[in-house]
Order: sequence, then C-alpha cells, then structure tokens
Amino acid sequence: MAANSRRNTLILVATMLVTVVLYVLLYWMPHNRQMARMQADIVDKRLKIDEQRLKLAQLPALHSDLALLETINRQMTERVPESINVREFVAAIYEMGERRGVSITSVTPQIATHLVTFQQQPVTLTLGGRFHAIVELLHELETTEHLVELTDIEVKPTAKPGETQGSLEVKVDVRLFARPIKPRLLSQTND
Amino acid sequence: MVTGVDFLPGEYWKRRASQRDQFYLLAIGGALILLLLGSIGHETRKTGLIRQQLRSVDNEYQSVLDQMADVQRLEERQAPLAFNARFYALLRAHPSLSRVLAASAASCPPRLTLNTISVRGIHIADAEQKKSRGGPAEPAVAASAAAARREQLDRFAKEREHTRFTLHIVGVAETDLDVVSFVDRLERSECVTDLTFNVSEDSSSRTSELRKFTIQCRLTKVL
Repeated sequence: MAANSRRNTLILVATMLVTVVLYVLLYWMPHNRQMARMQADIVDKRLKIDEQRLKLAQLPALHSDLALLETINRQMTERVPESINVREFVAAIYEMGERRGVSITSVTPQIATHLVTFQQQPVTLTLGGRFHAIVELLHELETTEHLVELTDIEVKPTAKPGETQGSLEVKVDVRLFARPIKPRLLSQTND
Repeated sequence: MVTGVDFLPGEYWKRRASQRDQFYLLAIGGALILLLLGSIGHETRKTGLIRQQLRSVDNEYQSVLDQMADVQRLEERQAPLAFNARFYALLRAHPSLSRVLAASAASCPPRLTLNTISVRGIHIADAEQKKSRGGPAEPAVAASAAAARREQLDRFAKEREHTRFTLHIVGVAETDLDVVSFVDRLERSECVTDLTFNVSEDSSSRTSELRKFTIQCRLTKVL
C-alpha cells in the first residue's frame, strides 16, 4: 500500500516537473523571445518616428527655403539667358558706346566653354574714349539686364596721334553666361 | 480505567494519511496547472497588448513615412534650385571693377597723373595646391551625374574663393607727398586693401623732376 502510494506520488511529482519544464521550454522561452523582439521593434520604430518627426518639424522651413530659392532662381532666369547671343551683346555695347561717346575699337569673342553646367563666353573688348565715359559704360555693362562679368581691365593712354588729349584705350575681358541647355531642347535641335 | 488498547486499526490510519498526502499532491498539481494556465492567459493578454501597440506604432510610422514622402518631394524639388542659386550667388560675389576705377580716379589729387591702371584676377591657390598635393590633382570619379555637378560647383566655389583681384597703378606725381596723399585717399575709399607702393625718380622726364610711382593693392571682396 505504502509502496503504491509512494509510486503515485513520484509519478505525480515527475509529471508536474515535466509539465513545468515543457511549459518553460516550449512556451515561456519562445514566447518571451517573441515578446522581446516585438518590444525592440516598437522601440526601434518609435525612435524612427521621433527622428522623422524632427525632420517633419523642418517642413515649414523647407517651404520658406523653397520660396526663397524660387525667387533667386527667377532672378537668375531674368539675368542669365538661355543662350549666349554675342551679336546681341555687341549691338548693346555699340549702343552704349554711342550714347556715352566711347568708341568700340574691337570685339573679340573667345571660344565658349562650360562652367559647372552653365555656358560661358569670354569676350575681349577694346574701348577708346574719355575716362569718365568709359567707367560709366563699364558700370552699365556690369549692371545690365543680362549678367556680364568683367574679369580683367587695362587702362592706358592712347598712343595714336591726332586723338584728343585725355583719351584712353581700355582693354576689357568680359564673360557672358547662359543657363544649361536642357536635354529635351537638345534632342529637339538634333531632330 | 484506562487501557493501552488501540480501538482504531493502525492500517486504517496509514491509509488515511496516504490518501491525505495524495490529495495534497493532487491539490498542488491542480494549483500548478491553474498557475500555468493563468500564466498562459496572462502572457497571451500581454502579447495581445504588445501586438496592439505594435500595430498602432506601425500605423503611426506609416503616416509619418507618408508625410516624409512630402518632405522628400520638397527636397528633391529644392536640390536643383539650390544648385542654381548657389552658382548664381557665386557669380554675383564678384567685385565691381568699374567702381574700383571710379574710386581710383576720385582719389587722385590734382598734381598727379595716372599712366596705366590694370585690374586682374589672380588664382592664389594654384601654387599652394600643387605644393600640398605634390603634383597635378587627378579628377575624382563621381558616383553620379548629380555628384559630378556638385563636385564641379564645389571646384568653382573654391576657385572663386581663391581668386584675388589686384589693382596695379602706374603714374607720375610732382612730389612724394602727392603720392602719399593718393595712397591715403585710395585706402579710405574702402575698395582696396593690402596696399603697397613704390616711388622712384622718373627717368623718362628730363625737364622736370617728376616722381614715378607704382601702386599695387587687392580689391576688397564685396564692392
């Protein structure tokens, strides 16, 4: 009887132990691992959300930046043409010279090259006239509708005989600019 | 009279004790199973809560990502505009050479003649770069067209930064004091900086004792 009871007790205790071990190994541990994974996922996503929200806080600033950049680009579109027109530039400079009493002795366009993605055209001008008139012309050139950059200037008295006293010869290197040609436009011109 | 006779049989007591122990064990086993079931229930509830949290965080993340798509669109729209704006700003960061000429003429005292004036842009970094690199630099291979454009723009910005415009004036004056007065006025015009000058006897003039001078200075960055 006692042996029977002891055996039953042992079976019961062993069953309980096995149940606990099985519970721990097959349910509790994988379950906890999964929970830890999910919690880590939540923490990770919350961090990402905070990070993105910080970026989102810059949205109004981005809008105002964009507005500012659009204004600057509009200004640039007005001052930098789509293509360099040397003939138009020469006509403009002759018109300016005539108005101010400055003679345009020579206009020498150099080879147009690329500057970043834009185009640039160096042009060498030789002007003759009185100092004030030339300086006024150069100032008008610098502040003209299209962007013109003066790179080098050399002012010398005129060596030619018969010229009026105080007449100068000015050699000016200028650069004209144009916006990048869009691929669409290129393909159109190729067609 | 009390006797030492046991009225209940010993076997009965032993059986009762064994049954009681088995009941206890069964009760403990039952309690354990209840605990396990309770734990499973609790864990399931916890999992449900976490799953719910995860779903809500996922939804939140998705909505933030949608908003971020707007930011990204804005940034993409901004990139070429910013590029052009930077280039335009670099183009405009150029001193007004006509203003320098005007300032030179305005600073000129009456008894002084300017023979030549020249304004030139000099790349001061060229020599330094060659020295530091130990030879000509090889162009880096850009990863994409946009990166190549950015690199070109950076190079242009550096070129602009390292370009110094110098003003070189040669003239004659009656006295050294006239030259000093001219230099002083030129410095006060705030168009130039780092001014150096040299005065010597004018060998070309035989009739009068004129002083020949040369002035060299750097144009200030923004005019």
